[in-house]
Amino acid sequence: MKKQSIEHTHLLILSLLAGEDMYGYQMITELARRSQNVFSMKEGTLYPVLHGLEKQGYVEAYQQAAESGRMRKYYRITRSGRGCLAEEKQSWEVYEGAVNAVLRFSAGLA
Amino acid sequence: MDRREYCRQLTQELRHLTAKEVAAVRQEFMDHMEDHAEMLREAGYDEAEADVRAVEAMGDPVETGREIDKQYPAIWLWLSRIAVAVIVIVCISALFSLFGAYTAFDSLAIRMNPYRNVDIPKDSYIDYRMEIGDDIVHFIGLEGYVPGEDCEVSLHFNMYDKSIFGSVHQNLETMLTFRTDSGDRISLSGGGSSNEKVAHYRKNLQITSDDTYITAIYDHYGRYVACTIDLQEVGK
Repeated sequence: MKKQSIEHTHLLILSLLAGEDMYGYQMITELARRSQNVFSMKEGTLYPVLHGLEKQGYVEAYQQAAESGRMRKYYRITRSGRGCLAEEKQSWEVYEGAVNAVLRFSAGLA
Repeated sequence: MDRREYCRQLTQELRHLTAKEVAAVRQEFMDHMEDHAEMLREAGYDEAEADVRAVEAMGDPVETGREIDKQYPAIWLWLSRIAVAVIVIVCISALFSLFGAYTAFDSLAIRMNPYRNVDIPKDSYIDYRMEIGDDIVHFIGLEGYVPGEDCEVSLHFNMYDKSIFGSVHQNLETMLTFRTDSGDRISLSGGGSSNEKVAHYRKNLQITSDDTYITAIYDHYGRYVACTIDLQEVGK
């Protein structure tokens, strides 16, 4: 089994940004909405993940004016970020498949 | 805890970020809490309640600050500090070089126009030089000389290094003594000004009607240099 090289939060954030550029609070609300509140995190914990991804070159940040005129910091996924996401998605699918296989086997024994 | 206190506790954990990066993180968190509070106000919460909930939703600022700090390797902070130090050193060196170039211009100019710093009548002009090591003493004027009369004269001289980039010995003018036909002369008065590269001095001396020369003497540290100024050459 391939070792998970990034944490799940990284995978989820990259997955969000693969669809569209987002700002911090938007990522929190989208994550909660799409996971039906299963992934509901303390909001501050998003930023160490984002800054780590930025340092690794998987995302980049830029400023854009919000409707109110206030400037917001948006994040977008980079080319290397998309490459990393593809790899990690594949690893996750292998991992998920293995877990499901074990669970099915156990269910068969029960 | 309000937003400011949250950010204060968070940012004090950011030890490996530059001041600019810390300010950017602070702004990002303030903006996030404002976004959340705005959503709550639109949902019907009053301003105070929205602020409180927005801060509470952020979690532990100290733990968050530490986790953010881990994303910034210490080496980059040290590299940025080293870069700043190098720039400061280069700027200071450049300033000193510029200052050196400026005063070198002074040294060059005094050779081309020895009278640029003084205003003495042309009939008092003289032109005698002494070389003392790397320093040059250039006698340029004997003001107040009246042939055949006892008088007090002002002996004007410039001092500079042989090289325009070199510095002149700052106390050299105190090491000169003067002699005339009638004996040693001690200068009790005078004046002058100097910078690192160029000096101009004036020594006041008593001359008798019988004197035909003034000799300037340097006799220190095993070196003896003398320069005799012929009083008949004054103004010629």
